[in-house]
Amino acid sequence: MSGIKLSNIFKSYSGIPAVRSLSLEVKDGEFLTLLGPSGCGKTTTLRMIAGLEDADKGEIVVGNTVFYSSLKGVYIPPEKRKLGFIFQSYALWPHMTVRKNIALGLEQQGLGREDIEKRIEEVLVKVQLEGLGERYPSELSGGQQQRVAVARMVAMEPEIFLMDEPLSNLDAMLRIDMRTELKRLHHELKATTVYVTHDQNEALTLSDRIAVMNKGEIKQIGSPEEIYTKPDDLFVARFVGSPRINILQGTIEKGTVRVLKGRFNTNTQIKYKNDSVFATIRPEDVRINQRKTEGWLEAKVYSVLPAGSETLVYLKYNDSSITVKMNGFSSLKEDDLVWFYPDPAKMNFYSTETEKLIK
Amino acid sequence: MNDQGHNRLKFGLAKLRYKNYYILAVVFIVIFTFLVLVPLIKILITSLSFQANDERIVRGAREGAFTFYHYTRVFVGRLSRSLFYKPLKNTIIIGIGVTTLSMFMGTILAWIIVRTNIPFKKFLNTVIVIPYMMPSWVLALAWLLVFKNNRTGGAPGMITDLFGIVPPDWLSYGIFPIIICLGFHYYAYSFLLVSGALETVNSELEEAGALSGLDKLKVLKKITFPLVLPALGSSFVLTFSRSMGTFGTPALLGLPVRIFTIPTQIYASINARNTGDSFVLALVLVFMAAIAIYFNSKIIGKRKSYVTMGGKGFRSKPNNLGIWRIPITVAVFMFLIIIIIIPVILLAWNTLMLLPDDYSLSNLTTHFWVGESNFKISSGEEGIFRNPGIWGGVANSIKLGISAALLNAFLGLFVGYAIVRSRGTRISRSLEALSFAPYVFPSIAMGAIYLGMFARPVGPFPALYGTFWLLLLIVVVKNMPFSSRTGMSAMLQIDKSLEESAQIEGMPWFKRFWKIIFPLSRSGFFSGMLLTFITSMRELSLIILLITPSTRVLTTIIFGYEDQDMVQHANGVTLILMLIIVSANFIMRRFLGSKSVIGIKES
Repeated sequence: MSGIKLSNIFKSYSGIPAVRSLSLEVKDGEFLTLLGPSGCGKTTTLRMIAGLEDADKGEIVVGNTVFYSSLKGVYIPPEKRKLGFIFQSYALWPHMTVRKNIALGLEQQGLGREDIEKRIEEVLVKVQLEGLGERYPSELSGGQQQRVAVARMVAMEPEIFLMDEPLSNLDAMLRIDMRTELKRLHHELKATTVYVTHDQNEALTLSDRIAVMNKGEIKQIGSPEEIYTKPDDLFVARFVGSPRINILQGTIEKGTVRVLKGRFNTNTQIKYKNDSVFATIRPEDVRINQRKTEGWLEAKVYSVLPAGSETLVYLKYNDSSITVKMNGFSSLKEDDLVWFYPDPAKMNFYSTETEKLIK
Repeated sequence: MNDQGHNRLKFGLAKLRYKNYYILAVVFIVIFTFLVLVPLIKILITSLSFQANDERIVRGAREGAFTFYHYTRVFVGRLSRSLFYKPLKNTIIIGIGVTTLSMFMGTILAWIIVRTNIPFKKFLNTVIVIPYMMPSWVLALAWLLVFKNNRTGGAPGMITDLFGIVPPDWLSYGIFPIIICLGFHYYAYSFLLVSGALETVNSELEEAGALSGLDKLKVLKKITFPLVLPALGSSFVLTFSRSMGTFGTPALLGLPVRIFTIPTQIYASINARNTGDSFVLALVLVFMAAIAIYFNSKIIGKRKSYVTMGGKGFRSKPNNLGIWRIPITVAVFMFLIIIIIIPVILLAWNTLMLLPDDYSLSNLTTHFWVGESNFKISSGEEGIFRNPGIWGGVANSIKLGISAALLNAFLGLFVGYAIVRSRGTRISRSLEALSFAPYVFPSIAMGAIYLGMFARPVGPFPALYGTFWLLLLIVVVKNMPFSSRTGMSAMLQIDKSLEESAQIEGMPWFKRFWKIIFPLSRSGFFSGMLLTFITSMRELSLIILLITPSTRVLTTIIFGYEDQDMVQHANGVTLILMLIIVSANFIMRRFLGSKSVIGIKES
């Protein structure tokens, strides 16, 4: 039974803060993803849980054990934390066979020969690498190396899995396959997992909860659905979702918000001290029509990007550009005239000052 | 101490306990401070005070009292011309001459071998650096066999014997032969650095030049040359500082006619018990070397900005030599024969001659190899194979070589580990600087420093003078810059995560080092070992001042024989030394599969 609790973690590198006042609780058996752009402190946070970096201040508790506490003066080194960790580079030992890679940690645990052999066979089957035990890492494909890294971690039977962008070195197709495998693995083993990625799609696919980070702070923490549909601020709104969310300038006139230079009335009532707000809408929530439709706005097609299952259409409306996601292929061409409708029910509204969610 | 402070200290110690690299780094810093910084300060102090010997010469002088006496004596006194200015002038002339010659040879050979369609490339690449493995003064010995005149007594050289022509003094001894002999030794630096740079020049860059309408010479001048310019700069600084500090060749070819360089003047001053003078001169050499290194680091710093090697589409298309291919090949082989084969033959032949100036077949003898003591020949010195003194030297040399190699390789690895792992901290920077500091000490100066420091017991060390341990100590410290660099580059090649993953799996530090880090840095470890072995086998300048009869090694035995004009013995022992070096190289490569060791690592 191991949850993870980080309280008030600070970490800086030669005076430059990397993680600021970070508190986070990962529930037992939960799959939590730290998502954010590079340099946001997500990997540092993960490495601090593992003990590969030391926090300047704060406390890290796993299960009932204090791993690190600057206040209580407690420090447990990484080699005694009994965690699992998958490195971005996999960190397979190049001078050892797959079998030896897996065995080394088990020998350290003091397991007997037979138990070790048995466990190696089990995990190799689990990651579908039966029969490749005698290979060296360099003789394996990227995907297979990734599986060895998983096998090596799983063999140790840790209660906590920490993964640092484990899929980022794989090609696009393989990455999707491995997501399926990792999700299945988590489902079977129910280990508390902290997963670091900059790929919002990966985060949405895998996680029970996502913590979006920026500049060393957690911006929002919630289920993938909450993060996607109700971002707490514009940073999260922009960072999550592909294609990128539409952000429209809005004004409050007589209590309701109007966007696109006042030409579209969202009929949404907002009480706010300023008379200007930002309105956001996902590209799939903008409807589009080739015939003139009452209450819809007329725009010119700037660019059409078909991608098989969907087509992205970029519109120009006065000075604003609007991205629309349509299903399947489309007969639209550049410079066509169309009518579009941003569904106010799907809109979120943000302060222009703090960029925080208002409604 | 209050509770909170106590807690923080405990916390800090708890963290530190598992960060062995900090502990290692601090231990090394303490050791190197003692072995590198303290000696430097000590000679500074010694040079600024009277020695016992001065009490007889200077009125009112008391041992240990502060004085500028040695400085005024060396820089402005009546003797300053012969003590300092003339040796300085000679040192600089030799430095410039050697550098020019060796850069010229090295660069041309590098271009020919890397960028043209000359045959036997692989073979040439190996053979061309052989002179560099040998002691730098082997050529000087061979030179004396050919060009020696009758001016200094002893048998004259071949030219006089065979043709009856007495070579003029400038040809027999002094600056000219010193430049030639050192130039044909040190060209290996330029060769290695420039060929390294040329190998990274993408042919497409040259082809792009050709396509924009430049002719071959213009391409060479406008594109190739600027790209290797930083390498040329480095080889200039490196060769100059090395030739400046060398002792063997200027001693063999300069001392007999009283032509001094700063290193040989240091030797002379020490022998004359003018320790203060010699320390002032040693400081001058340290200062000059520091300047050279400063410039070198500037050049290397700039070199990093040249990204000549792209990840993709790298091609190297050799230039076609056309009708010149055969003449140039012949010329290169001739060059190698002259600087490698002929000297060896000359030395070997000489050892078989009873009278050193009689070239008739009836004069051939095996006496110098297997003969029993005969007081009519070489003051009764026994033949090399039955000579216990020489076998003792062989044993000492090999003992020194192997122990230094092992120690340096291990220490280098640990130092490299400590530096790389604690990167970004002041500790790391200090250790890096300290481990590199011995590089600044010219060998002879360092010998002088250690002589002064370890003649008496210091700190934990008993008086080491006259023991094998002092030789080992100085060789290990002097080689530290190279072995710590080797260790560092080995460590940099091992991604940190490889150790971290072992740590996560619960392995303690010692086991991580033994199971992961050591196996992964093995090739650097062994090539570092071989390099140290070779350098310590051929070392003369560094230890010449520290040798006592019981600790004689091959190089000092050779120097001793040469000094007593027992040429055949000197040459024979030289051949044995060369044989040991070549076989060590061969065995190492054969059985350990280590890559070429004589690489740019030294730079």
